[in-house]
Amino acid sequence: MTDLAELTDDWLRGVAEAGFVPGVRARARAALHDLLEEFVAAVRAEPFDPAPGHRIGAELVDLRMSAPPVIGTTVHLLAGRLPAAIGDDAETRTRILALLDRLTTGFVAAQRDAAVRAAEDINRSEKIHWRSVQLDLQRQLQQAVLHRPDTGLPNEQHLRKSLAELAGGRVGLLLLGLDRYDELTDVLGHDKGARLLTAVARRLRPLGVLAHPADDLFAVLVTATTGPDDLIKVADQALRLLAGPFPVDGHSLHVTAFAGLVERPVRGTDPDGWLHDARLALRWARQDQRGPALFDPARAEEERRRHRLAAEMPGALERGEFTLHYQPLRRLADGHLIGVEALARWQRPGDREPLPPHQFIQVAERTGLIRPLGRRLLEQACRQGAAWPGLLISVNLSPVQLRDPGLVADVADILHRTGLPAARLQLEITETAEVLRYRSVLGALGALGVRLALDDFGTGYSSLAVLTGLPFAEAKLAAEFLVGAERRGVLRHIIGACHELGLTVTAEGIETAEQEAVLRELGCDHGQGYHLGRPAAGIVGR
Amino acid sequence: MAESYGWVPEGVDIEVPDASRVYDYALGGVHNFAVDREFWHRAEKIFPDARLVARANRAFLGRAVRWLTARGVRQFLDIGSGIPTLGNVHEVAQEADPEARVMYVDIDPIAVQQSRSLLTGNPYARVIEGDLREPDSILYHRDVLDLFDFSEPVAVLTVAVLHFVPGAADPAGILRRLGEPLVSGSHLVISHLGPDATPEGRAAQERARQLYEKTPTPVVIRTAEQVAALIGDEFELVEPGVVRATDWRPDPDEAGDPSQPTALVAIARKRDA
Repeated sequence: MTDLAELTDDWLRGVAEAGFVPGVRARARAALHDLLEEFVAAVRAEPFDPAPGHRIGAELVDLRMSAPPVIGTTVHLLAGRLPAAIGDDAETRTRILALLDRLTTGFVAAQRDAAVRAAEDINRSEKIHWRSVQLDLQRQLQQAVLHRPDTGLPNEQHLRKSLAELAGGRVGLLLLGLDRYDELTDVLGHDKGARLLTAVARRLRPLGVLAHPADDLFAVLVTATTGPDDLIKVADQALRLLAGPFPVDGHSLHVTAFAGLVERPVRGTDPDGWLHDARLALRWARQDQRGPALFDPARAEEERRRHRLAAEMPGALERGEFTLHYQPLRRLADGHLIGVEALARWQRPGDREPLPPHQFIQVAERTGLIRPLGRRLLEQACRQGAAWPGLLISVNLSPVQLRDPGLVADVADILHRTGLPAARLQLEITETAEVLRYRSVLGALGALGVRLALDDFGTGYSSLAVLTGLPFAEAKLAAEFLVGAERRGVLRHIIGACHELGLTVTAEGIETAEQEAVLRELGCDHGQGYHLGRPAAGIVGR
Repeated sequence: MAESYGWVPEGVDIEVPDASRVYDYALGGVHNFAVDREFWHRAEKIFPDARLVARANRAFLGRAVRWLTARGVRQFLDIGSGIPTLGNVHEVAQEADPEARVMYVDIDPIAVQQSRSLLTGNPYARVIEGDLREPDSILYHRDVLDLFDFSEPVAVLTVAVLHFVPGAADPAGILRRLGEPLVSGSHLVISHLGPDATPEGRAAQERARQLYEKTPTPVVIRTAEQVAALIGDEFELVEPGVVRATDWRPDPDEAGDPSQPTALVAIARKRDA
């Protein structure tokens, strides 16, 4: 067997020269020695079977003696020197060659399997790697999509997501709006604007879960609140935190912030509603300028109603849904009907009762629709009035209409077309500070021969002195004056003063015979109110 | 991609040779591409000993791990482990102790993924993606903290990887940082390309080095003194010091292998505090 040991040593040397042999050499030698003994056993087996050659070839690859020269060394060594060691006869040589033939096949097949496995492996690894790269990208993208690049805070989309994922209990959402941020960036540039935002974010950080839904808008999400007070405290704290100046690049920037708040149970709340309602509250805070504004469902409903009306109004005007009711104006001395006040009504299809003016005139003023609407109503009133000889037709004029440069021409045109004598038209103008700015318009209207009445006199802004310069013929006293006997002295003085200024006086809102009697006694000229006649589509009795 | 290999999906760059794949091929591995094999053939043509150097390196790695396990080291941090090819550290270490811990670290995400699939089912051998130039991100990686007990010695292996770190990246500082959290009795294992013995050899070596300039990982050749200087005072060189890979405590069986001057190796032990 020494020959076999020597042969093993030579085999190992050849294999080690061919390629790297992992592990301890002694172990490699033992493994090769085992293979050699198997090989010899196969040569000697009866009946002879060359199959073990295949396994021995594969085993070499398994031992990682897989470099291509290994097979050459093996064939060369075993074919050349094994016969001398175990029997140099023709049969032995034939058997050795047959086994080597199979050994080569086994080696190559195993080598190929290993290469294919490696290819599959590298392929799978790459695929897995690629998938993880994609997932990473997706995460980054999501980070980018859900966060603001300037402050790194969650953006509106992220905030919406968080709000949609709220579990339960009560939650407060605080929106902080920076006032005039746009102006600031226009003046200082966007870089400084962005730095200011970062500084704002840093200051707000202690408040809790922050988001940054828009340039000038920050949000604080407060969970597990017990009521609105919890959130109001956070809002107060936020406003305090933002009160100090922000040093940005040598500028000392001051920020005015408004706070809109929503606080309520999560259950039963539309997730999309949070941000909407908080924005609404923030708008109220801006409008009212009175500190943090808490969302109020009733106020929101009222706003929604106004918006609906505003949207309906142009169509309603075209469809002729706006009509007039007329309320009698009576001379208090004898109860004689001297005229009517035309009062706007909106008969919406489907409504049983028409809407009174206080429910839609303000809306029309805000949208500007008051101009065509006012014109239409004025024309209606004048046309109707022309059919009621001798009566004064008193029509309300909005301050917004006073701003319309075409107003005087419109009035003249309407008088002309309807045939109503100018002297029978009275325009009622509510006493506001604004009215005084349209002195020339009032003068021009007066010059048309139209009577001008100062509506709601005593609630507004004018001093008696101001009135002297304006062409008013009539003062309509606010109904408030009729409440309470203690005002009687004041009332007497006002009526007297009006008379001194050449104004006739009408008292509105007379609801009782007693009030009528008092006013008559105080020298008030005319009266109006439920006691003297309700508004109606036509004239009911004289 | 100019050439389609069918099973190679988009994303893997098979147009540029990769050091770990080239090394794999040099050792007789099959995890490599045509570009890697071609690169190696060119390198070998210029520097015929290249294959022997790679092999000597790998053989040293095996001896080093066996030597360390014999001295009771049971935790191995193999940085720059490359493609999981022949004679992996965990195979050697876990032969001595099936619970020996091995953490492979490589900069190439594909090598990392391949190692991961190879190590499936082995609770004590793991792999992370990491860059030797950022030692803290390796040392304080969650998986490393999870796998290793830093109150016990750790062997940090930087085998055939430091010569890819240029001086500007402060290899000495990197080794110092890697050594800092280790207890005494821990070891640094280094193998590094050194200059060839003859002027002709050095000229050939320089041409091969220039070849590596075209890969993502250019090579820096350092002398034995320079390699020794990379090791800080906290560590002392284990006998026989910085020597040729084939001369480091050779296996008597390997005594006949040709000596390889350009593979310099050393093991250093962290001094007692």
